[in-house]
Amino acid sequence: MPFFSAFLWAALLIFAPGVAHVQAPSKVNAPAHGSVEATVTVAIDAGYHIQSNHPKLDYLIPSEVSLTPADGIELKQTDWPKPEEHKFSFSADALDVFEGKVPVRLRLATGAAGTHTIQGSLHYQACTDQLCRPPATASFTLTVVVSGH
Amino acid sequence: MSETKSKSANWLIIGVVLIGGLIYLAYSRKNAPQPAAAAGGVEAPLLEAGNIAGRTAPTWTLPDADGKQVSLAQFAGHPVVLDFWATWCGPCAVELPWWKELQDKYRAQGLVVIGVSEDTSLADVKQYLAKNALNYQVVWDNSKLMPTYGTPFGLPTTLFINRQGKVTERAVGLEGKPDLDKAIRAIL
Repeated sequence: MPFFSAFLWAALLIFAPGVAHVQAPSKVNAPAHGSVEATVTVAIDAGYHIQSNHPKLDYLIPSEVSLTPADGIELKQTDWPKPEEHKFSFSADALDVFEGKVPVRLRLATGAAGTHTIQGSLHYQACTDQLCRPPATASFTLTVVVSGH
Repeated sequence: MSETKSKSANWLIIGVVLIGGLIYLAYSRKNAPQPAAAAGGVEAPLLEAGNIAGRTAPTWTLPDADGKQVSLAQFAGHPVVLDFWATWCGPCAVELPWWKELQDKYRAQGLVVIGVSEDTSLADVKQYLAKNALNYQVVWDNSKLMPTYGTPFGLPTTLFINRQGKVTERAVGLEGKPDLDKAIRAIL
């Protein structure tokens, strides 16, 4: 393997403790006792993919977004975009994966008025065309301002 | 001229990554907890990252899928392949049939292939082995041993250990079967 390529592989592994990150809106406004949608963006480092929310192969680890239960806010549904079908050197068939920036829509039900700061997490497992990294979790914070009666 | 610029850019990238990496490693080591000598069944000092050819392979004791303790010391005098893998690792799954084939091919010459599972759940390993029978030893590590071999977490990672217990090569990522075969021949 050429030196430069080997060096970049090593650097990619050593200096990439987490390869997927979640960007959440700074604030979401919502009516009391209603519903609201919040879109978070999963940003995946170049060269990596993460498994889709419904991988084709049962041994692959699906990507999942969850919110820590909080009074007044409930995650009702998570809408992932359609995954990319990608053929890798290690797979006989194309796999469903996410790469780049992935918008994930969270449908929330609200309770009484108030400001809610909710902790969220993305559980994922990332690979390149040649190797895989262990399952990991990326955290994010979502602030929902609920107003009205 | 553009080739010169391209080379300069490559060396600039290497320089930046190297300096950043050294700062990161220095910070990590300063703040990292020191591993206990016998933590997780690992009994020997750490191997460093980088070129570890010629270094003595740290010995270890880990459970197999049935809970039986297996030690690297059991295979003293044998050429050994340590294949770090996991059930959720696609590139690893490509190599597993190759390891079966290579284990058979070089069994008479004493080769011992050991699959070191990095799954967090032993049940997952058992389930996988029930569906995919392997003809070589599999132990369950759950990330304890891999850092001891100075290996950044990327699977598959393979270490080749000669009859004298010295590491001859460490391969990170999916390799071609001819390359694995060649690395094995070097330790027979």
